[in-house]
Amino acid sequence: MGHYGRVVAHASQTSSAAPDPVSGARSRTPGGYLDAASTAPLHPAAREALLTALDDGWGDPSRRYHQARRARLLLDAARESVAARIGARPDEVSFTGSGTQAVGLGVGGLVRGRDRVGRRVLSSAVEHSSVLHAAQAAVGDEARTVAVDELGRVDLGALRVAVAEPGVVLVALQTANHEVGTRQPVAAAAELCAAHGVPLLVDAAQSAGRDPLPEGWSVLTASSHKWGGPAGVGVLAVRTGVRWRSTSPEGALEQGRVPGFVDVPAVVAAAAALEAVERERPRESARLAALVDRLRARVPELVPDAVVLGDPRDRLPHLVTFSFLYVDGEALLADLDRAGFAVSSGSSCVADSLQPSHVLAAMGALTHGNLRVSLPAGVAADDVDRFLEVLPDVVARVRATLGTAGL
Amino acid sequence: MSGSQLPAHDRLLDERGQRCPLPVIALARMTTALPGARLLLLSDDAAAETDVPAWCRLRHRTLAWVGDSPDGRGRAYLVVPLAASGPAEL
Repeated sequence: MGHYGRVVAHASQTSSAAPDPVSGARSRTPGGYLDAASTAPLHPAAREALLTALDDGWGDPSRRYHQARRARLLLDAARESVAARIGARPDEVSFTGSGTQAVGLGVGGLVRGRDRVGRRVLSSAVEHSSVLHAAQAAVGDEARTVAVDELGRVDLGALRVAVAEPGVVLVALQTANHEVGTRQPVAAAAELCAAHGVPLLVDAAQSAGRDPLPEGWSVLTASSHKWGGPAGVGVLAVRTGVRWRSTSPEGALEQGRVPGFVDVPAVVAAAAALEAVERERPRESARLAALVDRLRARVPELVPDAVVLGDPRDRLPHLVTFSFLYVDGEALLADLDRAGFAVSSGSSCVADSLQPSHVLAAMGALTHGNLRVSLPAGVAADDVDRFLEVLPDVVARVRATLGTAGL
Repeated sequence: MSGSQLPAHDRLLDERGQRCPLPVIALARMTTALPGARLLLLSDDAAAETDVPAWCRLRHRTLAWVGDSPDGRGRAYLVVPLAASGPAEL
């Protein structure tokens, strides 16, 4: 993990409570927080639902007294709500302790369910590290990756060949890339998988609440804190009829798929946040996509030797990544933090492992001087404009300390 | 594309121990100073594996050869002007 080093948001930064000049909406997030792809601030609807559910939903939903029934009612309502928004039936949806746990259980259960077929797990080379690690943990050397193009999109030709080989137990493909925003061809991948009877696991962590979710998945996973719900809630949806067998030795809850006691208040808050962001999504996605278009167009004009990564059009609405030649990613993040902006980077100097991001490496993109900007829902347009004002000087200062003028 | 021998070159840049973006900056500096030279960069920085080819595309240079350093410490990258071609094989 740790490919995306984080800069902690400035608590001291003045909150931009001023109405947004474009939408007229008040920004919910602290000014300068542009790292929503790492985690989104709690949506007000989630906060409200959480406080109510802490009082009403603490009982054990599997018991038979009135406190338990209240918790069960809240949990069932949350499940129906989330199921409707991700295109699933309620009995297909289980809540987990995190998005990573959902991925681990999803991969593990599919591998176990098809252990008579083989052990090969295929993932795109740019999956989230939780997917790559889950595949590795489940099948070791039989975890294989499928190449991507320079935009970070999986090579469907290579997938077509790989999925036709014997012994493939599952294919994992994200809805869209978490580092560069490129949408993946999930519908086409689903067709290839269906033709060979191979289940498709779709990691929707970056798209849920942000972008329409695709159909054709066998297992879908998502994570509440990415859409403005609380941390500690993941979603694992398993399509009816898919061969999935629990890997948990414990008596599992949540439709027999997840070990451990479910956090009902947090699940209720997660569902409330998803409802709220989905209501706002058509208008908000268009607004954020326009702000990202502005960033994609202006940054290369304002900063010399800036590379814009990812697909310019077929992409997530809220996320864009740049690499700046001859820039030290760590210094860039630190300087931007001092200027009040929280962003992240896939450069090796920012990672705990000192390895560059596997996503950027798979794309063949410049990995140093890397900067990911991801807009929280409700971000003020003024934040993006201020960022564009500050960025050229910050990059120039970092380059000046390295003495790279004229190179 | 590996071997214990290094290909012919005009200048050797031993940037081992330097982290990104310093090896690429060293390569860029030497390229500016000696535009026609065949430069051999040694680097043990993991980012160089991706960043040297990416820099060559951005600055229109040819990455003519990549292999392991003869002593096993890091990798060697032969970078030459776009028109020139490096040895395909040793």
